[in-house]
Amino acid sequence: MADGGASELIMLISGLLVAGIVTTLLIASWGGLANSVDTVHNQAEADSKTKAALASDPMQVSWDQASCNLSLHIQNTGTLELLDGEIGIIANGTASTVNQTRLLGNSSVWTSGEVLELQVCPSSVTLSVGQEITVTIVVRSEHYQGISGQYSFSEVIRIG
Amino acid sequence: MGGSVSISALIVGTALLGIFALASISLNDSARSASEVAEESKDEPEIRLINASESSGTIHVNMTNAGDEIISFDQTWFSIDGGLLIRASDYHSQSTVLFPGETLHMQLNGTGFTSPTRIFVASMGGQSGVSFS
Repeated sequence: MADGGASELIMLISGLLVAGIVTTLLIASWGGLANSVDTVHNQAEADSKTKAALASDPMQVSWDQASCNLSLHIQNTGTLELLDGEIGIIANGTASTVNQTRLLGNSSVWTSGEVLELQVCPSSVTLSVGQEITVTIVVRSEHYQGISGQYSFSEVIRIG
Repeated sequence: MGGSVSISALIVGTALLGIFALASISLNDSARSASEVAEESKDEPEIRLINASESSGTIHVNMTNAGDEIISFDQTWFSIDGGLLIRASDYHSQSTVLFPGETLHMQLNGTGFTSPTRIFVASMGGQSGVSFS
């Protein structure tokens, strides 16, 4: 009887230990899963608040071949502030250099509704008046809950 | 002793079920807020220029809000003949927004443009352009 009691005690302790280990593992895995879901959720939220659109007249975009200067105006149409120093431009399939940026109006930061003027040079590209090209613009927002949002859009423009 | 093993197993099992329930609730909340993010994205405003004319350096333009979003003139920019953009609120102070379905005559004084050919407007992703008549 005493032997039976001792073995049941051992089984009880073993069962509790196994249950404890399993519980720890499950909590750790659920914690990791919850963290990754949270990160994805924050990224989606930051991306959804990051938007921009072309504000220039796409039918008459100014281009100077001699100085390699394409003038574009981009409006912040999202709710997060955009970073004017982190813009990517692809013009006519060519990665372009942003030579100069300037915020229109009195704003010093690129907040919602404000327009940024860009002087862009798509290197080694020859464009002529009336030519239609596609520009792709990538913008990045300030950090939102530790994550920066991104947004890209493409638009057909006509050189004026 | 056998009874205590069963009771312990019951306690551990219940605790595990509780943990799973809490984790499921947490994941459900995350999924719900993620779907709310998708619903949060607003539609682009539908701004339409009806016609435009120029007289003695003053530009007259009729425009309407054809969508269901309120359009703020602080966020509305005109471009004349592809030139530098001008903010609508800098030239129009009688009202600050264009309500859905509203049509407005706007007068732009002192833009420096004479005999322009085309005017374009952009507001938060909505765009419209019209030739001068």
